[in-house]
Formats: sequence, C-alpha cells, structure tokens
Amino acid sequence: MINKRLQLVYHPDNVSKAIIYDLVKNYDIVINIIQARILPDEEGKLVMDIKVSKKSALDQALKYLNNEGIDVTILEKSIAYNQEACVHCGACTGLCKAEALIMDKTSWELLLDQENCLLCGMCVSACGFNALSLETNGDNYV
Amino acid sequence: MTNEKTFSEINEKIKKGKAVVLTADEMSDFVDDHGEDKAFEEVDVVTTATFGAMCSSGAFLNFGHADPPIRMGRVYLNDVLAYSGIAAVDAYIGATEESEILADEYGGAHVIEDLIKGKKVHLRASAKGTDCYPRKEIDTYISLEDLNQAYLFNPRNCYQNYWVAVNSSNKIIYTYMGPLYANYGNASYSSAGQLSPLLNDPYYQTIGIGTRIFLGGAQGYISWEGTQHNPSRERTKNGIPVGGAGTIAVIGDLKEMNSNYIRAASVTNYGVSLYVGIGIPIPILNKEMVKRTAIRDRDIDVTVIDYAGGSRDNPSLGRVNYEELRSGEIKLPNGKIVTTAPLSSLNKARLIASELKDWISKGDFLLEEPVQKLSNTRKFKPIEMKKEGALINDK
Repeated sequence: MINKRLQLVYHPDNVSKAIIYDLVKNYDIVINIIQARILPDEEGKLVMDIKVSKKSALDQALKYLNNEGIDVTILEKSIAYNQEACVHCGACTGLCKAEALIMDKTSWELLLDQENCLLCGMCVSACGFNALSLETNGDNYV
Repeated sequence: MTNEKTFSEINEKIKKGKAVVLTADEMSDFVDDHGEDKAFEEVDVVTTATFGAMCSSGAFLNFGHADPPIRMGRVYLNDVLAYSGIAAVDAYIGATEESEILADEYGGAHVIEDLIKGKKVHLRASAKGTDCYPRKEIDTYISLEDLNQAYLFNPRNCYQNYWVAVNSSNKIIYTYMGPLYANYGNASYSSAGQLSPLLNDPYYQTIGIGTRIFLGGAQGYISWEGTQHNPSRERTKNGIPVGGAGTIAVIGDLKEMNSNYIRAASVTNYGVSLYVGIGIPIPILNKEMVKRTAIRDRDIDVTVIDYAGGSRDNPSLGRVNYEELRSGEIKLPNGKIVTTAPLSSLNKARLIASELKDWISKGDFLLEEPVQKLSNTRKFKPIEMKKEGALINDK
C-alpha cells in the first residue's frame, strides 16, 4: 500500500469537475480530505491523504489529474520550524487544531509534533516572526 | 523591624550584595510557604517582566552632518519612512510604519531590530536645500555604531492587563490579537499575568516616572505616563483592572540593547509591531507590597471581548482569569468552550525577570525612586466626531 499526501490546486475552469469521484471510482484510491477550500469560479486548494495499492495506479491517477489541469504537489509531511526566530509567544498554538503545535506548560516553550501536522498553514499566518513555514519543496508532479 | 523600608535602605543592601531578590513567580511561592510577615522581613525586591507586542514604540536617531550639510525633509530607512519634522539630522522611526516596498513584511520595528543586530541600514533623505543646509539629497548606509544618539522612546508600553479576544462571526478575522477563527474557534490573550509589572503594583505605589527598568536588555527608564493610561478602568476587589488600564512611556539606549529582548513582528493582515521586553523591580517597602507581589494568575481577572464587530465598543462576553487562560481552554458564560493561546511570551518574560534579578543581586542595578507618581485618576477619552461647520459656529 502506498500512502501519500497530495495538495491539489484547482483553477476557476476546473473547480466544477468531479475530480475526487473519478479518483475513487476509476483509480481505486482511498481518500481522506485534510483541508479543502474550493469555491465556484475561484482558484481552490485541497489537501488529502491517499492510499493506493499499486504504483501504476498512482501514476495513472497523477496523469489523470495533470490532464484535467489540476496542479498536484506531493507534500512531505513537515513544517519548517526556525527555533532561532521563535520567541515562544504561543500565538500559533491557538490556530493549530491538530495540536501539532503546543506550549510546554512548565517551560512555556513551543513544542512541534510533525506527526500531528495537517499542513493547514494557519500557524504560518499566526507567526509574526517567520519562525514557521510550510514545507513547499514537495515533489511537483508535472 | 519597622513596618516600612525605604528605597535608599534597599539600595544600600544591593550595593553590599546583600539584597534578597525574588521574581514575582518566586514571591508567590515564598509567601505561600512562609507567610507575609516573613516575606516582608526577608525579601527586598521582586522582579516583574513582560515580553509582548507593543505597537506604540519607536526610536530617535541622530545621523550626524554630511558636508555640505542637509536639513533632512523626508527620511527613509530601508524604505521605511521615518519622521523628520524635527531638527536637521534627527528622525524618529516608528515601529509600525511599513516599508514602501515590502509593505507589512518589513517596517520600522524591523529597522530597529536590524540596527540592534548591528546590520547596515540604507538611509535616503531629501531636502529643499537652504543657504546653511545646501545639500538636497543623501543616499548612504548607516549602522548603530555610526549614530550619535539612538534611543528607544516608546509612548505606550507594558499595558496593565489587556483583553481576551474571540470572534463570534461566521468568518475568520485578522486582528492585532492574531487570526481569530469563526464561531469562537480560538481565544488569544496578551499578558504575563502574575509576572506582569503593573499587575504587581496595581495602584502604581512604587512604579512611576523615573523608575529604572530593564528595557530590551539594557537599563532604561520610565519617562512619562503612557499614552492611553487609564487607571479608571473597573477593578476587582484586589485592585486588579479587568482590562487594559495603566501604561508607561519608556526610554533607553538602543546601543546597549539586545535583539533577544526586542523583536520585530509582522502580524498577518494587520501590520508591523515591535515585541519589547520590559522588566521592572518592585521594592518591598511595606506589607502591602508583599501582598501585591504575591498575586497569582487565578487572582487576575480579564474581560473577554468579541472582536467580530470591529467597533470601538466591542461587546464583552464576561470574565475569566489567567489560570484558566493558561490551562489552554476557557468556558465562556455563553457555554462555549474555547481554545486559548497567548500572544506575549511567558518564556521570555521569565528570562527577563531572572536576568533583572541577577543584575540587582550582583549590585549592577540600583532602584530609582519615582520623581513623580503615575496618575491614579486619569480617564481615557474617545475622540468625538465634529464637523468643521460646528467648530466655526462655536467661535
């Protein structure tokens, strides 16, 4: 079984297509949507974990997405944390619903648990010090 | 032993290296363990601190004269406008002024941080040219050591308590209290609570104009009451105001500061701010100050405000205390359970309180008695919207 986390960027002209349905039905992919914001006539973004039995099926699915005009990025499951820049204020923790970022209640230092991170990116906008950034160097599938 | 100690008695002990100094956290424990009488007998100074966003900040800079000299009209530092409507080569760089190129990614606060870090800063200035100041342009690089004077002068810092911010609307909003999720998705607060300076001296009995403080890693001073100083805020029985109340204006030498304790921040969809580290020593002059400095987070109430409306008078949703806020979750009177997160760094505030304690314990930092008290009666007024015509009619 192959597990991947994908980010799909939809363009205004393909938001109305039943992409997820096709992935499930035609390529037998198990999908867990982590984050989605797709609105009519607007660029949209969807982050999902997928499970697929064979590499050939994954390749075909990626080719399908490419043909449909969806920009696909295979995300590495990590967020970059620059400890030097961090002041341990904790502002990011209120935005992190996955509890990947929490405050140590004794030292009041920021703790990051990559495993819990859903790559939603809200911590990035909560941090005034550029201490957190989304890992954007995932493999782009073109 | 008398019931009062004086600043000079305590300073004598500091000079001899015999003063007993505790942080406000340690004082609370000491009083719990040994009682107030023993605390008054043994403890001389309690150190308090905070490290948080203090927008109302900036620095006065003097660049020195070029030859031929210039009377600077408009001044830019790394493309951030500095106010130069003062003498020829003086300017004030305000923390929240944004870069004309990078907008809210870089601002006056970042210029201040870069200067403290010893980085070169691009100075551009233009002028109309006069007989005595004929130069019309200047374009060069400066660093902190090149400047004649560079001092932080912050009109409003160190708020005595603040608010807890939530958002009742159905969409996320971006505020100076950080992003607030829709439908009470999170709550943010910004105070060091029991370690915060003005919460340990709620009626400003020892903290006033002239008080020597820890400012950004250097020794600085309280220069005036802060703008929007509002001691008239409603208080609980223990004297603690339930929202933003007292403030102080502070001054200190940028050349002695340390970027560990002064940091620029860009708040998403809001703008630039400066995180300032401030530590204030409180002399234990009497038993009342023992009581004041022994305060705990659970004794400090704060009002929860709904920021959804974007109004001057955003509605209150009741009160919680800092112990609840620190637990990571609060229950609002409307029954909502809300995740909480701090905006000011307790970790840094503790470091500052400890460093100030070290300075005093080693005799490197003496207490200064205020030359004037902060007002205990001032009211913070709103601005009234008046029409020009109405003003003319008034005459």
